[in-house]
Amino acid sequence: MTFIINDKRYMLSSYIHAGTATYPHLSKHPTLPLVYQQQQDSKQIPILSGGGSGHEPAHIGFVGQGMLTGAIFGPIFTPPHAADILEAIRFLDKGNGIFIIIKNFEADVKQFRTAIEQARKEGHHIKYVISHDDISIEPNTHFQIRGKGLAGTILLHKILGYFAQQGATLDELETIGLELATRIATIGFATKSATLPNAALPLFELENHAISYGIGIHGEEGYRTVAFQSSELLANEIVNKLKLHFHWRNKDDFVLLVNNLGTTTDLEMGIFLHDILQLLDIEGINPLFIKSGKYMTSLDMSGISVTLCQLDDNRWLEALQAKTDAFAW
Amino acid sequence: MSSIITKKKISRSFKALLETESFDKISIVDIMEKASIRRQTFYNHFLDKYQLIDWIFQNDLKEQITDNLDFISGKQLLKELFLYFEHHRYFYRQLFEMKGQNNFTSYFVEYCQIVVIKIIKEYSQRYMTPDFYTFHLNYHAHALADIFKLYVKHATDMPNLDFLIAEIAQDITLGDK
Repeated sequence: MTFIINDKRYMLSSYIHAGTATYPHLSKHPTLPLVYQQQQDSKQIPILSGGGSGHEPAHIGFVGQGMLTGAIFGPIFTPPHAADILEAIRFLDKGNGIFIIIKNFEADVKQFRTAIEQARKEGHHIKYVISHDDISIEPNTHFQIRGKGLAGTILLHKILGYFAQQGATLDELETIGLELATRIATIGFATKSATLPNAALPLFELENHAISYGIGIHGEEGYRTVAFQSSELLANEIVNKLKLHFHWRNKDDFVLLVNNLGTTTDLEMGIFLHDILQLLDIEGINPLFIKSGKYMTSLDMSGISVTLCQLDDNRWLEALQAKTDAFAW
Repeated sequence: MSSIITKKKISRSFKALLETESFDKISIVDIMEKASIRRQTFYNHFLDKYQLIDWIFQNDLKEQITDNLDFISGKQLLKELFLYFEHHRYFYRQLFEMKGQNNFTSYFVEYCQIVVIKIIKEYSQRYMTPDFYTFHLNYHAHALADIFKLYVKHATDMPNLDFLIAEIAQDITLGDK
């Protein structure tokens, strides 16, 4: 595979520069791999998120009015360093405190927690939520649910971003975030593994025309590999696993986010979404809000993840429908 | 091409009709009208309503059991099965009562055997001779199949899953795994 690149050291800064040039509401911090909104009401609680790169447009594409205040990047599939996160907190907190959204990966949580502890010692008021929407299982752990942070994290960005814009306090954001995080579930499949830039081999082996169900976004293996037959059979398995998680009842209210994991074509996305919608309809579920596109990718992986969020609170829907200038929403 | 989504749409309307009508009184016309699909489509997927009910049973068991074997524990699988039968009680009450027409029971016992094998594999530490293992599998598969049928028929409470697992795993000191 050919990866379009120059010197690997400047990969991330090139990407960020291109992003801020294309979207003038975004700026890059002079020294940190941090993208932030240029004009945000200083009375509003800022929201920071971030993680390793390789998941673009996450999280730069979700920085904007009504979503994130800033996004901090680390190297490919590696979280930002605690020292950088700490610096980002100092930079974004204008005195009202700061809210942070972290994806549940051990390494990410460790770096963010270290930074948060240090920042708190310096007097910053910080609350955070850890997204854990992954309902796939970790193989060989007696069916333990993996609980990592996947594309469902973007719903936290949007809903919490809206409430922050509406003037929510840090405590209110925490309350909403903690409840919302338990209502989001994501599971997906891959038709092709991701390959690290210029690596000789992909992150996992998958034969041509084979599907791996329940993969992660860093090459984490799935729970089953099958030969591809049809889009509707893929959709059926995914809907069944989501049903197992939610135990939904006829007419329950849901939001649906179908995420392109990297290099699936738009045509395939549409075919698959159509199947998902029909299967949900058979279950008596008609999502009140639907998003489909690239939100949380895994480099050049081909595959799709499906996120459902059970709407316990009507204001969440209002938050999702509200305008934002974040370019990837 | 046969479509699982179309089959499921037809199945949904058939299951809904079975909640108020008996199997004998339901026609293909009724089923397809309720599904808002033209009648001919039925015959592209099924020969008759007997084949439809067979398909529902087989597909439901595949989705509930086979497709979950590598995804949830034996205990959770048992729980999900009870919840599933509870949710579709009307349908299965009629299905289990239809004898002679189809070979449901032996088919169902085969699926219960898969569940028993999984539970033994996950929860039993006891050595069983091959002969005893075969007997043990059969014994518990039949027992489980009948427990499910009684559960559907009499709307009893869900049995204590730990007890069922301990019985199947032959380990009465088993804790909550």
